[in-house]
Amino acid sequence: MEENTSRRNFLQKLVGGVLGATAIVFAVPFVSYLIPKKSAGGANLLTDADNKPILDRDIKEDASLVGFSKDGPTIVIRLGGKLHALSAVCTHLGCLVKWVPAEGIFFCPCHAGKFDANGANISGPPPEPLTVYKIEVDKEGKIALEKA
Amino acid sequence: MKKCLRTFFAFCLLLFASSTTLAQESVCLTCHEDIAKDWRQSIHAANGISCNNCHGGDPKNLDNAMDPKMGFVGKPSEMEVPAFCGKCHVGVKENYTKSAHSINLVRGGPSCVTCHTAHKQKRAAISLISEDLCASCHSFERAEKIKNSMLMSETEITGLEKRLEALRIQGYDVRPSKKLLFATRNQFHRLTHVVDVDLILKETTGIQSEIERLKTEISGNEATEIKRKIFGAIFIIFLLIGAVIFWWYRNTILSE
Amino acid sequence: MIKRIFNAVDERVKLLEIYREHLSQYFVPAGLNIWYSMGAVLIVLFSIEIITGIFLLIHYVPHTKEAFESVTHISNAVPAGWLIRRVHAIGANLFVLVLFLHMFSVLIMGSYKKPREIHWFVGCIILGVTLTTCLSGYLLPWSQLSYWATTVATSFPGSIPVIGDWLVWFMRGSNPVSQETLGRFFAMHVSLIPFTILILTSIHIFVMRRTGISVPPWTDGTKKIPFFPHFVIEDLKVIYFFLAMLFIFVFFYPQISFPPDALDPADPLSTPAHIKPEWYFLANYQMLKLVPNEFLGIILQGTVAFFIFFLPLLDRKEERRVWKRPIFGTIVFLGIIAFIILTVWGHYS
Repeated sequence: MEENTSRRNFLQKLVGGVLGATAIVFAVPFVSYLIPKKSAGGANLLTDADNKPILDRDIKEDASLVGFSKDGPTIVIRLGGKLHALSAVCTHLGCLVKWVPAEGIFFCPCHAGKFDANGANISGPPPEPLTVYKIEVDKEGKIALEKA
Repeated sequence: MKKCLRTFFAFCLLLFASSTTLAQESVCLTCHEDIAKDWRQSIHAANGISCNNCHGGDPKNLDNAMDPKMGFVGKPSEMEVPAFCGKCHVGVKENYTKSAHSINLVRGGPSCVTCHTAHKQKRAAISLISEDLCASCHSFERAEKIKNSMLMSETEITGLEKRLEALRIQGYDVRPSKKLLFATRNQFHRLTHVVDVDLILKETTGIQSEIERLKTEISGNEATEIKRKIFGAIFIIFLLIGAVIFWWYRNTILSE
Repeated sequence: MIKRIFNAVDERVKLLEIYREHLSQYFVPAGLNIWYSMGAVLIVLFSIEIITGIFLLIHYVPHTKEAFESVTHISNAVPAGWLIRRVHAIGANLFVLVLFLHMFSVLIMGSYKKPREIHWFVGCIILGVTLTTCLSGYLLPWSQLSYWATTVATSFPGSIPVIGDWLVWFMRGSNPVSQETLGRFFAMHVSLIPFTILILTSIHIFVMRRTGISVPPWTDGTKKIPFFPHFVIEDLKVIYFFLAMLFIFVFFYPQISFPPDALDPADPLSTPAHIKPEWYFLANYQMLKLVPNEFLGIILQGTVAFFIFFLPLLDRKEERRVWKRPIFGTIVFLGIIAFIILTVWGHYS
């Protein structure tokens, strides 16, 4: 009788173990399926809404273009022939800034925040400057960004 | 009437669903029967390249089939053959033009159709470099040297093609690798038309590195597949053991 | 601590009472064999299909331009995507097989007879809805196999006089198969049909519990065992065996559900050679090829389905032991042999 009880307990634990192990093994692939893959390494390219790279020659003098990069919306301007890239996200509450060539500033339409051409916050509520990126243009004209 | 047509159509789909492309055959084949027999065996036919693609003319209409106004150019002379095939096979023509074969064309040297035939071309393989084709003009020795230097890469490429297909059947997306392998293989085969051993050896080294890259990728996928199978086997055995444990529990403890 | 929470809940909604009534004090006849567990296997497989299906929904795009790519993306780029997709496709096949086994055992043991006629009617409807699920799901990857198998399968109603053409056009939403077809098949496959199967299965189990499980014909039904844990363990044993079968195919022979035509995107302008439907439709397909008039073939198959569906009303004798029902046994045996022969023939033709 004693033996029977201990055998019963052992088998019960075994059955429980099998069911538990099955549940865990089943759960693993479903959980990993849900964890989004980080985009692989490689250059942080400036792209348009269709994921096509924006090219160097698309940006005319004194003009600006807003595109996407791994860090979010980015604005590129050409001043004096040189390309500048900065984060387009206003440091106040997150609206996207516009480049105003007449005044040479970035202007945020939400609360009239102003940044100069180097990203420094010069007027209005934004508490911090815009992040500036280093630009490298490859031989095809694609624009690779790197945090300065 | 419409109902009968629909039944007929559905019936045809059932019984005759074995047709590949539903294209109409060129009218040229109705008269040029011997050529038609050859062409049907060719890799051109298998890929939908028909008479008008090379010779011009209207493939649908007997009246215009050989009309110069519809682009018909007729049969090229021996000297015109390289440019004729080179309309599509541009890279090969470039290589051929630099070769000793091209220079000797005026003296009865080989043109494209000498080795590949005019209408019966099969998928190019290294077996084309053979004693009966090459030794018909000069000794086989030189051709053999070229063949040997290319044999290893050719075998590798064929091996990789098979491995890619095995991966594809298991659900892997091999399209970028397949395209790269196809391009590498064509680049490699183009080389043969230069018939210069040293040049070929030099180019083969470059192609080898492409092959190595592909090999690493394919081996990686194959290793993943083996890992999956091992996990699978362990899990399946676990399930079967689980079933046995349940059976054991039922038959001993729960049978009272 | 947990015990306290449990006791508090039980005091209010009397969970233990339910447990006793439906599990530990619910008795089933002893002598239930593995055939009686097919239902449980089906419930598990159905749950697996629902869960894998929901996960596939995260990445699948139901548009002709993107469907094939989205499925390729799942199979190659999403972690464990290949596993979820294979389980879904092969699990569906196993589901139909176990469904056939389940119906076979009910047929042989005469469990469709009074008082269980409703179970049979509802079960036949579930079979029909399951086959529709499989047909609609087949189209979703938008491969050559998907497109052309659907074209062939939806062309059959065309031979019905008067309304045939309209029926085909209605089923497909257009002619030929197009985005319209994909749209309606997708909506049906992921919402309407799972809910329908859920409701039908609930009714099926409800009437099964009300009438009680049928006593195996070779016992007298006096000896009983508690459903929980005794019969639940028996069910689990059979479930685990079938899961092992499922995963053997998933890991070692997935090609069974993915022949070469399933690996190419649909090309409406080019029919591949050797297109044939999935194995559970092969017998119907082959039979229609043999009968000279397609409409006659459909009528014949409809008649067979009619007889199968109304079986409990046609066979009202009480005898359930198959060795005492020679005419019935012969018909069933011949029918199954014919089905197998037609299926194998259809595969090799």
